[in-house]
Amino acid sequence: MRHRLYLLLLVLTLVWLPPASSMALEIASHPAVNKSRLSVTELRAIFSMRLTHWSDSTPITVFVLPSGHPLHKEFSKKVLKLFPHQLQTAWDRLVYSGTGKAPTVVKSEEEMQYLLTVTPGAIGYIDKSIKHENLNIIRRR
Amino acid sequence: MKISILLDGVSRSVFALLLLWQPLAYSVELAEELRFSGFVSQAAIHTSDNNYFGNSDDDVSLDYREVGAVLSVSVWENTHFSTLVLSRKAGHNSDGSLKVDHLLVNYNFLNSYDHTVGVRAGRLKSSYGWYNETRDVPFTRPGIFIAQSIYTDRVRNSYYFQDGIHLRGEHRFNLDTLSWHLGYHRPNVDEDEFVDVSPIPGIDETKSKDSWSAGLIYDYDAGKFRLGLFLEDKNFDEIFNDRIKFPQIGIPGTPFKANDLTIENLFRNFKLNNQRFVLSAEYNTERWSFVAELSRTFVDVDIDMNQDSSDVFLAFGSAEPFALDDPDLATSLPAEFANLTSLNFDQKVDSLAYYFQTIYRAGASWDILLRYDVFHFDEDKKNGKKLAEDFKFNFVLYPNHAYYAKDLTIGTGWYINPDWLVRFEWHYIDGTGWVTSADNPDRDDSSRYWNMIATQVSYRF
Repeated sequence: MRHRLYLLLLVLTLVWLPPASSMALEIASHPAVNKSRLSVTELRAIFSMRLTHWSDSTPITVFVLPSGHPLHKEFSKKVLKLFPHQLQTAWDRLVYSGTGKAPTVVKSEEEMQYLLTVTPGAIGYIDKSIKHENLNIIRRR
Repeated sequence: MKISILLDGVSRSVFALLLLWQPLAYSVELAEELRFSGFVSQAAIHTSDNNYFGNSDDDVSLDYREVGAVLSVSVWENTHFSTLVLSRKAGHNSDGSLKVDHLLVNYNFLNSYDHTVGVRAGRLKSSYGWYNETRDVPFTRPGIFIAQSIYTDRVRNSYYFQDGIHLRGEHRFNLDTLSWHLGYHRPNVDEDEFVDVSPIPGIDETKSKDSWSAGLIYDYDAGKFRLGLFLEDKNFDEIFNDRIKFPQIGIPGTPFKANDLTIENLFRNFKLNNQRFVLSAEYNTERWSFVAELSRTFVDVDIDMNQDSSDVFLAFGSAEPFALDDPDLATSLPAEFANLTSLNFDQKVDSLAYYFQTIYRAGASWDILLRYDVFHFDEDKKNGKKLAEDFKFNFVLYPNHAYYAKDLTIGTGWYINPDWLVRFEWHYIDGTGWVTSADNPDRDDSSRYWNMIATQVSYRF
């Protein structure tokens, strides 16, 4: 009886806990961005605002959701391995020390999706469940 | 806007200008790569004793406010210009006039996913510790004030603003980052600050000379653990008045009484070398940040005596001319000055400063700060005891507690939304090592133990 209980718990755990790598978001860019995969180093270079241009010289425009947005938290922690407060501190330091610029904060997921579609060189992230025919999806390497 | 009543002169016009510009900043991306942003803060400070940033002693000082505007533009692929214009009012230390906080160009000659290497030139801020580059921006500080032991405001204008060039690099390895800089610069001199901290009266002019800096930061595991080492070497020449008055010294049995003693041409100039190293560490979790920074500063003052001046010995009541290295000097002077020969004119000061700080993020919009901050003007002479005696011969004598400070801070911050921040802070302080003479002209009247409560409202756009 006890073994069955353990087995049940094990099965439930496997069913309920998604694999560590799965996420509810996709990294997305303007359809003309010619990238299908980016490593964590590359994503950090882009979202820490260090890399400013794609290899074809198109300026990179980074869109993010507000710091407290669940999708932003997930992106920050799971993709960049940073806590949102660290990311915010790094961006503030860039702007106020004159070293660089902060990403553009969009108000909603809808605005993010729209701006990614119409801004050449743009990169951001969207909810996986959203239809995204007009966007380039970037996988992590 | 009630807040505008509190702003005076230039600050008010800047504030008005910013309000006018605000809708512009939201609605118009002036150009694709042109960015405009800014911030405004206003504090209220009350202290039980001693003035901090205005007349706060048993009163409420509203003399701490910051108004800043940042304009940045990327011109070419690897070139970025930025300027921050700042009006800062902080008691008698900063008068609120408009100053260029930074005006610089960044040029990256190497920029890839893994490496960024470039130069930064123009008006820069000293690049040491976790907070200095953005010390005047309320949203980048963990509290209303950053740790005054290491980021003291007493010499802020002279020590932290500089014109120069930095060679900078950043190297990214998976989740780790190594950043560094090498800098050459001339510090900007604020004459009043040197007069305040000088142990010798009569400084007429201070000139900055070639100065250097270096920094190395390692971010481990996406910055969960961070370690930084910063080195600075600053040089100044100080030139004296022809006539120096010694307020503390009178000579019994002579016509010279306190404040009467004036010596002409005693000092020609002195060289001031300030070497500093700062070790910084930080550990981050989602809710907690633990920060510790330690600074050692070695100040070497090399005074050039004008030994030919007949005023020297006449002023000290000696019948015969003497040279300062004369072994018979002690016997040729009145008894009160028998130990004048022990004056160390190559004065060395070894300052120690450190603090521990914990930030707890209670939610998306609340944080709590706890900090213990220690400053010793001379590490070998803790609590100022021996130091105040030594400095008797340097003619400006402050109470012992003017040579150290220990500050326990508890604070909290509330982000009403990402652009509005309200902070409250309580400080319990032993010592007056980092309060300014500008705010406390009579330091003999200052108190060793004191409390400070402060609140600050900040807005950014």
